[in-house]
Amino acid sequence: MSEPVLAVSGLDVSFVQYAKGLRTRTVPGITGLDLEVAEGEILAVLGASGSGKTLLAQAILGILPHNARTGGEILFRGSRLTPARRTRVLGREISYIPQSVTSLDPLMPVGAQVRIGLDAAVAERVRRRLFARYDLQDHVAGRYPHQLSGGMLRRVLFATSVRDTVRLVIADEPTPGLHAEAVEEVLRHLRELAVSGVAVLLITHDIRAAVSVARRVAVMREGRLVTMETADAFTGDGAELRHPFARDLWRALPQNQFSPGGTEWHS
Amino acid sequence: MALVIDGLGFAYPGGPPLFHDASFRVEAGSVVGITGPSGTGKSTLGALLAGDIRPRLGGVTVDGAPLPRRAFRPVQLIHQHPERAVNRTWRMSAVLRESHAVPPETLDRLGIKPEWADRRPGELSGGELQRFCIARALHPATRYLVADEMTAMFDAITQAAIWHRLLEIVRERGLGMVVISHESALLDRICDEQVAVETLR
Amino acid sequence: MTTSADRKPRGRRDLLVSLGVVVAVVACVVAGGLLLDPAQMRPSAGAPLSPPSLRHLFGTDHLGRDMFTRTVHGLSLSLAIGVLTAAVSTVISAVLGICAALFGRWVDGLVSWVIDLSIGIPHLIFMVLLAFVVGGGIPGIVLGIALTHWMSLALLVRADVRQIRSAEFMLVSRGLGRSPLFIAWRHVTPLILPQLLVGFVLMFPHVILHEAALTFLGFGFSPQTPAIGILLSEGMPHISSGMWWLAVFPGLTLLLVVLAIARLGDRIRTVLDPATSHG
Repeated sequence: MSEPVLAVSGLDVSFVQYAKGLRTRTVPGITGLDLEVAEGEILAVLGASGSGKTLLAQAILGILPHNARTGGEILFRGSRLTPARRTRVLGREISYIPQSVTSLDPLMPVGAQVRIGLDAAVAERVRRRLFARYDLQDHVAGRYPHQLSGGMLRRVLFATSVRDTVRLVIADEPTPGLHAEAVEEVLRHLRELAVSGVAVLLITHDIRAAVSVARRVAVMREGRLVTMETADAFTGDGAELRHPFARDLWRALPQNQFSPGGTEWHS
Repeated sequence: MALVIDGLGFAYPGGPPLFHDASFRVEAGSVVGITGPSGTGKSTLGALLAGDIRPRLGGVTVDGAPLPRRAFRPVQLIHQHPERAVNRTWRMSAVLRESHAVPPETLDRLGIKPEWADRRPGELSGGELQRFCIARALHPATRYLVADEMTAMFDAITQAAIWHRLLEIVRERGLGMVVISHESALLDRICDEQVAVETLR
Repeated sequence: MTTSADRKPRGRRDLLVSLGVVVAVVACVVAGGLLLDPAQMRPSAGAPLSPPSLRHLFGTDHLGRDMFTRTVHGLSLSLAIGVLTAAVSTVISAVLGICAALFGRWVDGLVSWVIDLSIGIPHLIFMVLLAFVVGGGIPGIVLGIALTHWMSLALLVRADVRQIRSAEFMLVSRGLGRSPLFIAWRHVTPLILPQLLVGFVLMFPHVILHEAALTFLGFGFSPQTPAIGILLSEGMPHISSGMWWLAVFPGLTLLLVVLAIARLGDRIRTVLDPATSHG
């Protein structure tokens, strides 16, 4: 097997905070996390809020809060992601799809936002190609975000993140609050990226989204990787799932047993 | 005995009409789901039902009486983000007291541990906070509950646990309930009937 | 990522240091005011216009009064007026800021109009006018300064409360039948308390300097009162004839007190501001 695009090993993230008075305490965020994402693979990181999944994205992108301490190692295409290297690869080889369309600049036409970070000589040509790829008409380029519908904005968001040179895409909760068709569209775009050889790290708390698009699902809880499951195992009553927590999560879905913690519940 | 929306019309200032001549009713003791894509006014409808914003036309009546403006409202709204629905400088015991003296039995049934009462919101998880918001909404004079994406931010186990416990109390007290959610599987599981928000526009 | 930089938070420690300095300065001034012999402030307590010496640390003035004793008394007067004035001013800011943001368009319009009007009039002229109308003395100075210093803090409070106003817990409180006064007092006040505290401390140096300015110009106190402004205005004519200590020492001590308090205000803000509170 070829070298993974992203390899995280022994990642620790903790926060130094004031407790009472002048005493400080260290609050763990992520403890001993290992995972790898291969070329063309979608790895879903599944966890509730507070499970540490967003910290993982922030640690890779180098945007942790300033009182955070980190340990362990993050390798991108075989070598360490140092701050210097990160400035070189962010936006070119590693790209981030934020949670909400409010991350777009409300005061800049969307076409110009898509051109950010592209070489000036080819920017307009690439912009046209990205617009075509995401089914956006050319005249939309001159519009401002508030003039576009939610669906178009999400496609613009993809267009701002996707570059020919990108090898790793980190998508942070791209689906909550969206109705079924919109979710399906977002997932289709992620799948297309993977097919073109990009490694995708999908961070989500939506089990169905994770299972329908990823090959492997990493389940996080309280800062630890609880289990790595194959997406196929999330089926039926979840008997094929290796870890009881993954089984409980699957069975708690309203379309399965809707059971809080293992027991069947009848309405 | 019903929560009745009759000929309701609403638009944000300068915006297009969001609801036009919308009517539906929620019988006491029934659970009604509101479905629809995001951005189509589901949350606005919830705020209208709870009296947080006032309709331009028509109105909301509760068991025959209009919603009071400056007194306790018998329709209580439970929000999506509990951390925004409590004052972060208050202890949780004060959060509950603002509503009423919640009986220990209710707290226990909602899975609220007694020692959480002394904590502040920042020291509890979202799921734990949401249980407090639910307990607060279960005032003795509450007749209807509106849950606006109440568990959308939580994992499936927390979601199931919260709904399981709340619905038991709702059934016991014969409360009416409006569930706003984009998750159709959840609505299919807990609602007696469903209304698509598009039919109210 | 692999480096684990030591990022120990320092905000609270710095705050304590600043607080220690201010407490020490205030304690010295208060103790000096109580312990120093008032007889030293009478004319002919020493030889007129003698330079600083061990007997007269800050020298003596043209009447032979001990400048050190007068400076310490002047500072304690400044501090007392500062606390009183900054407190009055902060309360005005809080009440008007909250009312403007919470109690409807009509109240907001009125408060905004008063703010615009007060900001429009030049500070010093307004103060002189007020001190004159009230009739001098401590009440004149306190009112004159308090009524000219509340506007910018009131604007900050109003902006803060406008954000809090639409918070979901405010809607919930209203839905539970709570009155606007309950909401203003129980929900809004604790949330703007940090802002008020910072506003109070940062207003303090401002107020002391303006008190000095007013007394320097001759408004407020009788010439024999040992206020810093009066000491400075008395000392000014003597600077050119080489009697530097008359203006330098009172001015310098005033500057040190003001800087220490301003530093404290900045550090309180750093610790209370959510964006920097971990640092």
